[in-house]
Amino acid sequence: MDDSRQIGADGSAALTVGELFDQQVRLRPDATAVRTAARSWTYAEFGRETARLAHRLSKLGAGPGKIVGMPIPRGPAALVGLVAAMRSGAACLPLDPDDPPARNAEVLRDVGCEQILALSRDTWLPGVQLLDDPSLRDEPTTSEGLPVPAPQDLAYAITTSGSTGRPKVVGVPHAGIVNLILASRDDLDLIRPDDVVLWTSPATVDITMQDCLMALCCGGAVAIPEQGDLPATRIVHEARTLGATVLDIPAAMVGPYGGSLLPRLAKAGVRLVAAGSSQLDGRGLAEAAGAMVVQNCYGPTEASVAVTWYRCLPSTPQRAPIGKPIRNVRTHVLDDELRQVPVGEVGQLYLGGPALARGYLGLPARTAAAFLPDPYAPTPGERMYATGDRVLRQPDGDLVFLGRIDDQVKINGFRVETGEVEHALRQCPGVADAAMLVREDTPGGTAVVAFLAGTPSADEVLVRRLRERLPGHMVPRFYVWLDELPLNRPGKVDRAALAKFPVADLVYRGRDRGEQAVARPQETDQGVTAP
Amino acid sequence: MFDDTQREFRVVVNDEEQYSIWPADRDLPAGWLGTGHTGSKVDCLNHIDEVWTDLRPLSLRSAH
Repeated sequence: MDDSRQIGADGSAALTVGELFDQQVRLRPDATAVRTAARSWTYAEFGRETARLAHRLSKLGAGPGKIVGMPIPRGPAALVGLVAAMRSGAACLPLDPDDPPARNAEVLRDVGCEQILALSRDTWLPGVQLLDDPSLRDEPTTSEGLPVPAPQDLAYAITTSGSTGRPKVVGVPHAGIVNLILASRDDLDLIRPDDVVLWTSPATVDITMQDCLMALCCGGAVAIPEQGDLPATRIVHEARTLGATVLDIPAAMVGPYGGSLLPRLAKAGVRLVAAGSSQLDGRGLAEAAGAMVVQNCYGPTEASVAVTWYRCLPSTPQRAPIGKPIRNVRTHVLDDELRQVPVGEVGQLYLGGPALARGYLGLPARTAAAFLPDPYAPTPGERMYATGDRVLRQPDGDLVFLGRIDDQVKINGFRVETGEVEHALRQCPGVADAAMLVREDTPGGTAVVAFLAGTPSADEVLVRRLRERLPGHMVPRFYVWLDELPLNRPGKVDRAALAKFPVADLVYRGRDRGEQAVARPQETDQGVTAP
Repeated sequence: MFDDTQREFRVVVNDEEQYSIWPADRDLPAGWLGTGHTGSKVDCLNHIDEVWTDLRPLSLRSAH
C-alpha cells in the first residue's frame, strides 16, 4: 500500500471523499461498512458495488463538474448511489422521490443534471440508470480508471427551500465536507474505526453527508434503519438493534425530554449523540453525563453541514452554546456595518474558510448576495457567508445562538424577538417546549401566539410570569397547548404547520376539547380584549 | 448596511472570478477589485446575474 496516500493527524484537506473511502477499502477490507437489520456489507463488498456503478456512471458521462441526481429515499440503495456518484468524480444531488415531479424536474434542469440514479423508471426522469441493473456486474470493481476530482469540485448538492418558494441548490465542494470529516475524526472524536453511525437524517438533508461519509471515510460502519419517520422511540429501538454507537438527532428531540431519551440511548450502547438543527435545551443533559457524550453542533448547508461544536457538560445552561469553530473555519460576529462587535454583544454570524459552499447553483445573484468579501480574512480575496443568524461570543470563546435575523418581527412598530420570547416561555411552570409565531389572522388582529408542550398551566400564570421577563408587546396573547410541537423533515419546529393551525382553535371553546388546544386571548399590551 | 435600498453598491470580483457586492463608500477588502459597475443593491445583483455565468472558481475552470 502506498503510504503517501495516507493522511496524517494534521490531515491535509487536499483529498476527496472517494480517495478517503478507497483508503479504508484497502486498510480494512473485511470490516463492516454498511449494516441493515437484514444484511451487512464489508468494505471490500461495498467498495466493489460502488465501483461498478461509478464506472457505469462514468461511461454515461458523469465525472468532475457533473451532477448525478438521485431521487431515492434513505436506504442501502441511496448510500450505494451517493458513494458511486462521488467515486465517478461527479457530485450527488439527493432528491425526495415523493416531492412533486415538477419540482424535482425543475431542480434537475436548473443545475444541468444529465445523469439520474433511480430505483424505477419514472416518466418525469430523463436518462435514468437503474441501481439494480443486472449488467452492472460486468463493470470493474476498483477505482482504477476513474477520474479523481479536485478538492474544489463539488461532492454533493442539497436543495433548500428558498424564500420565494423556488428551491435553491447549494453546491458543496470536497474541500468543505473533507474538512469536516477530518475534524470529526482528529479533533472532535466523533468517529472511530469501531463506531457504528446510525443514519437518522432523510437522504435529502445534508446531515446525511456527515453521518454516512464520516463513517465510510474513517473506517466506521453506517447502520441504516428501516425507512420512514424516526421518532424518539424508534431511534432507541434502531440503535439497539443495529448496535449504533454514534448518532445525530435533532436538538428539538433531545430538547426538554433529553432527561429520558439520552439515558435510554446510552443503555442501548450509544456513546455519542450529536444534536443540531435548532437550539439545544440544556435541561436534561445532566442525566446523560458520564454515560455518553452530547455534542451540540451548528452550521448551515452553505458551510458543509456543521462548523461549530460544543461538548455539553452537566452544567450546560438551558440555552446550550453552539461552541467554537472547527479547524480552518473563521467565525466573525459583525454588526450591520460589518464591524466586529465586542465579546458578549449580539451580532450576525459570518463564516469563512474551506467549509464554504460554492454557492447556489444556477443563481449567481443569490450567491453574490449571501457570499460577501471577507474583510477579516488572513489571505486576500476570500469570501464569507452571511448566515442570517444572531449570535454572541462568550468570554470563553463559545458562540451562543440567539435566533434568526428574520425572526425579528414587528407588531405595531415594536420589535418582537422570537428567540427571547421562546426562551422566556420555556422557563414558565409546566412548559417543556415552546414556539412563538406572529399570526395576522387571529381574532382581534395581529398577535403573538405561543405554542406550548408540557403540563398545561393557566394562561394567567404564564402571563404573570412572562410580564416579569418580557416587554409587554412581546407577551403572547394566545396560548395553545399541544401534545408535542410538530417537527419538519430537517427536525426543526415546523413553523409552517403552526402558521396554519386553525384560527378557530385559538378562541376559547369551553371544555369540549378537554384541556388541550384551549387558548383564549389574554389582556396584554398588544391592546386586545377577550371576545 | 446590506438592507439599505438607498445605499450605493459596487460589483466586485476576486482573482477566482467570484462576484459579490460591496458598499461604494467603503474601502474594498484586500484581494477584491471593482468591475466598474455601481448602483443599488438590486441593480448590482441583476448585473451579476448577467456576467457571472460560471460559478466555478477560475482555478477549477482551467483544471477541467
